[in-house]
Amino acid sequence: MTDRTEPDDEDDGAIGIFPSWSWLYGAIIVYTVIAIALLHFFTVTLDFGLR
Amino acid sequence: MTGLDWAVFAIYFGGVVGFALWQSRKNVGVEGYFLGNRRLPWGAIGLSVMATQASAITFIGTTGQAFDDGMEFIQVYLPQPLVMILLCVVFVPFFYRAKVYTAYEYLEGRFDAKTRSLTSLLFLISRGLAAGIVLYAPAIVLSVIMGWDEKVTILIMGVITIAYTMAGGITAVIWTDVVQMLMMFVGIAAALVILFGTLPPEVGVGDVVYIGGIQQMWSSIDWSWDPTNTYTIWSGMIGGFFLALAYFGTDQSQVQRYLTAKSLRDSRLSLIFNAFLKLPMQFAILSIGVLLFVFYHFERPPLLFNAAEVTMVHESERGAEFQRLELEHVDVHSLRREATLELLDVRSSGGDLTELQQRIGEYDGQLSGLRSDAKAIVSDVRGTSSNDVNYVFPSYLVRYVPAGILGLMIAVIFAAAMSSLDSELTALSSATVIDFYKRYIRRSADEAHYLLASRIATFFWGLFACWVALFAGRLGSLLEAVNQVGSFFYGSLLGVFVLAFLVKKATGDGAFWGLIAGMVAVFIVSITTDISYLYYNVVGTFTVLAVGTLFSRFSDRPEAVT
Repeated sequence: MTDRTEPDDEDDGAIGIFPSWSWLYGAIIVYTVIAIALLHFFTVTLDFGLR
Repeated sequence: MTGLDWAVFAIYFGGVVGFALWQSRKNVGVEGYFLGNRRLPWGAIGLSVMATQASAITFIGTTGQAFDDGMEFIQVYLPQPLVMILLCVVFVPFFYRAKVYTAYEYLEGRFDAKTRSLTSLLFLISRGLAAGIVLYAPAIVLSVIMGWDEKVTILIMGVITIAYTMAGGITAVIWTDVVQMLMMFVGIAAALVILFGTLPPEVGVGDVVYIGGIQQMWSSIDWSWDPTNTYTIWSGMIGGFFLALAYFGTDQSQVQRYLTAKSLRDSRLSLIFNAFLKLPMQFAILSIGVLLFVFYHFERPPLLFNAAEVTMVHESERGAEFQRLELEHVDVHSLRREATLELLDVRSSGGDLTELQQRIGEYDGQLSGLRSDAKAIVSDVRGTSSNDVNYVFPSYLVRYVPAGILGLMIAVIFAAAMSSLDSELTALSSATVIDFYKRYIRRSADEAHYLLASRIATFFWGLFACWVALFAGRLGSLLEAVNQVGSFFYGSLLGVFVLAFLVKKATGDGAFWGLIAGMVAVFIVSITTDISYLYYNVVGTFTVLAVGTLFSRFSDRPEAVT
């Protein structure tokens, strides 16, 4: 192991369609919330049992 | 299998080995062998991260679980996108900037040698055993389903994986993982298409959704708070979060992957890739299980799919009782089939479905009960729990999939197993050589020497995995077994790394004794409570943090260098 460090140039600049890493992380959080909401929707609406 | 199936199978093996060797030609030295000279593209690393996690158990066990219990297992995967964020923000920068070969190497710089050695040793033990299970899972299933000799199957997979991993190191592993992961995507898509194709022509997508819904097979989220319920949104989002964070953040088989990227940005992108793709992939795999459940409304399944277990029970003193269950299963299934076909007619004519829904629901319940009773008999006769879930999907493949496609699907199962095993072998080899051999036995030698040692370590762990696989015959659901083995160590390992990253005054003694306390706490919780194994990781992590912080505060050691 060395103590060498890289310049932290990765925290700046656009990441694909996202203006910054923060936006990308925000998109992932929204994605997770949508996934849970969608699965909850399936759970409720696709329950055809009579119990 | 037909000649066409064997041809597909042979193309897979030849292609993988050839591609691995071709891709590894530029490797130089130990850094090339373990880290691909830190120049691999993030897309390939991202696929390798996925392939490493998705073993044959994922296909075999997960589809079977969905067949029995529906989609609820997906809750374990829900926190993974969030875990990837935390890894990108906290874990990856620490590892990447430290320029380490193994995750545990970082801990010596942060704490001390004994903490590094203990964590690396725990990794070697748990991952070494898991490598054997990864190899064993498809071998035992294929031996029962295809009639192949279990030992020969283990050795074929093991020897080929050892050979290309020894020769090409991490570069060969990552590029073969790319091919194998793409094969898995094709396999998942093919399985869904084939399943729809083997349903009766009058059954549409809406009917499939409807029939699955009668038994609540699409139920994915369970909001109940019961901690003894294995799969709930809380066990998934809390326990699953800690399990995934520990796996991706402290397990060398994953850390090694993102250390091969050419920049910190690429390391992060490889994980982000996983954040977006993992959930849809897992949803698709579980859907295969639910489709199988619907499929068997029209075709009669065996009461249990593991023919070896059935034969064992037939020959036991409970054979007659089991046969009665089988006969009852045939009768109830016939009634359910008639009711389901009637339901399709009524649905297409817009009639009232209430009575038919109720009848089908009752038959579903009866069939499920008969299956549970049959598994209980198997458990009684075998002395261990039935692992029938692992036979549901392979059994379908053999009975209903056309020539050529069967070869592809079996190759996909092999690909899934080999793509996990190869990653584990490079990880085990790197931890052995970097954390022990180079650290304690031969501190200075030339590159050629360490490269040879690395290849020998890969060979040793490959043999060890094969040995474990040959003797791993008495586990229950393989899927849970692998996760449970990990859960005893993972939470505590995670606690040590969190202590290193976030608690500045933590000392080596604090981390070391915190780790011991964490594992003891998990062991006590596991034998004294019935809580879901997913929560073990939470217990381990917080125990290490609490004990580690307290011990550091009261110990006399100087503050560690960060």
